[in-house]
Amino acid sequence: MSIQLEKKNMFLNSFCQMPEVGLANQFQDEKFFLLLRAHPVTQLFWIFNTVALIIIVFISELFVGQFINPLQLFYFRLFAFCFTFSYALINFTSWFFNVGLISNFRVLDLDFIPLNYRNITETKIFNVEDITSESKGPFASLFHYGDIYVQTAGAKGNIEFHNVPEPNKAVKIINSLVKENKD
Amino acid sequence: MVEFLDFAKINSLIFNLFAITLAIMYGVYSIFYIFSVRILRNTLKTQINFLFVVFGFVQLVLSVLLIITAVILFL
Repeated sequence: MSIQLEKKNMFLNSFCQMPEVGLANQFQDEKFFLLLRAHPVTQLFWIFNTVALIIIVFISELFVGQFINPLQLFYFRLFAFCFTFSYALINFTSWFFNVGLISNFRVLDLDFIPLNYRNITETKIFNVEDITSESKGPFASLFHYGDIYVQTAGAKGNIEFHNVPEPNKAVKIINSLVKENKD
Repeated sequence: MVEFLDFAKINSLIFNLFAITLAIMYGVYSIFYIFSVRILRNTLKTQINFLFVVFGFVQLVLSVLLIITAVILFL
């Protein structure tokens, strides 16, 4: 392999070079070059909602507390905490496991929604025909994230990575891997 | 007629019924979460996968606490 990438694989990064991850169906000499997740800025929506939920619970306690007894109030607080915690956790899990993986053999798109949806799309790297990156909106330009579309040969579905950071850099890496594989 | 109805008790009963239903639903959800995350962990192996197991069990413990509180509310 002639491609040399600096190791940047912090486990909570959304752009990991040479990540230390494993797959259930990983080939013996398969090496991962890139792991892509949605840019953290795109996750601000649910983080903001979590904070808003905490504030709403504190405010609503002032009103609800007048009508219920102390034990019921304790239950109310506990349930509000559980709900907020679970809301944040499911969103974090969804973000963490929705990844794009690029290895020396294939390109994988893992889509997970905990509890109800799991979709894994993969294509061999020599099947990659064309790669497009797209940045839409002022936030995408400001924080430098965008979508990557990997078009494959034949009737197979295309692979899409949404809101990933540094799309141009990712496209460059995938292109060099494709080129190396086809040479 | 109004003398026979204790609205405070009725409100409390409705709250308690609602509380126990929510607690059971949360318990079921936390069990589903643990199984769902087990599939995710087996598919993509990362350094912090164990955290999701820990959080899954935290949810389960919280749901048990919720159910216990809801039962105490009834007693």
